[in-house]
Amino acid sequence: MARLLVQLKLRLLLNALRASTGAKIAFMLSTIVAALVAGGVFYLLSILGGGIAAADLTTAIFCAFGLAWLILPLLVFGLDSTLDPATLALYPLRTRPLAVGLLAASATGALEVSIEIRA
Amino acid sequence: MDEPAIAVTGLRKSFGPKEAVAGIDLEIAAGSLAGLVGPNGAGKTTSLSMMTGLLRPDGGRILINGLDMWTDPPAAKAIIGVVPAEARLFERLSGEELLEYAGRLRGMPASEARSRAKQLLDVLDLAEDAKRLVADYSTGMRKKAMLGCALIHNPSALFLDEPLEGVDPVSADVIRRLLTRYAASGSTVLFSSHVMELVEQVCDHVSIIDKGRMVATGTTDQVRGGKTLQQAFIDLVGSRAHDKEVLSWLGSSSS
Repeated sequence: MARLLVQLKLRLLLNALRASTGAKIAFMLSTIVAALVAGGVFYLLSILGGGIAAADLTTAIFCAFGLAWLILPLLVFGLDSTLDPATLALYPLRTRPLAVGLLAASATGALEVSIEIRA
Repeated sequence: MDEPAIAVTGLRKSFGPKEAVAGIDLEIAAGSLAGLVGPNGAGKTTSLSMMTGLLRPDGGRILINGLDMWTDPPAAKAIIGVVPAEARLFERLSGEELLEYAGRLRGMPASEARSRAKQLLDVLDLAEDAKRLVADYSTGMRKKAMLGCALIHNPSALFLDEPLEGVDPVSADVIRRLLTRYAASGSTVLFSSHVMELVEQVCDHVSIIDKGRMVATGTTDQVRGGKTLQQAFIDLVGSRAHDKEVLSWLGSSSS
């Protein structure tokens, strides 16, 4: 089930990118920005060195990112309607595999798409 | 075949103070093509949503081939196909991908799902648009694509909410013949419609609901009782026309 939902999500993302150049550009830009932000954060943290403050800060930042990644899609479904659970309501899916599958699908994104494009 | 394919007893649903469905009973035999008619707001869509596991009823029971829809929804959903009034579809899939995933989400192997999807698209006259995204489909094409999704696993009962709305006459005829053939093979169809002629032509069983209650149910001949279905429907539901007194200014003949 999880495998199938991840495949479905990938297909939806790829089709969305194929459909419009706007989406393609937005996707590339946001990937670049995300990479820069990630690089920047790592660099800043490395400047801080091994102090106790650095460890605390790292923990806080990664917790914030993790929470946002978990919670934001719940609050703003529609932002990412690609795999809206409401669409799956008609199918005979059991709650537990469905939840695991949706979690896996929500973790599927830019990295997998770029691998798929290159393949 | 004594056990009905679809058995509904005492189905109820309220939205706040408004009772949308006020206890309906319905029995439909296997192999039957049944119509559900009623005026706007009568509770047709609400009833169908509860029967197909989309909306939890406040009370009542729904058995499909003996499986209780709300005791074990996945088991009951596995043997039915549904074309809802307003379906959410995966907009970013092409027509053929949509049908293929509909099959695979129901546990079919990919190759089987793909070959059935192709055949269904051919029959539904969507083969030329198979590669286009569902987002670009017209209302009628979406209805047909949804019908394809609802049939791909060869369900034993099919529920359709206004299946021919927005569908062109040629496709409507194709769908009509498809449903007739499907029911003749022993599967069961229940659909709602506003089009009395259609119901009269294809259905062997008709139920009329009004204000959340079943006002007539039985074979088409029983329900219409010698009249046309249109006339029987208006007699039962009550004509809502007060044409003489109101809107006297309407029309070009008023002085």
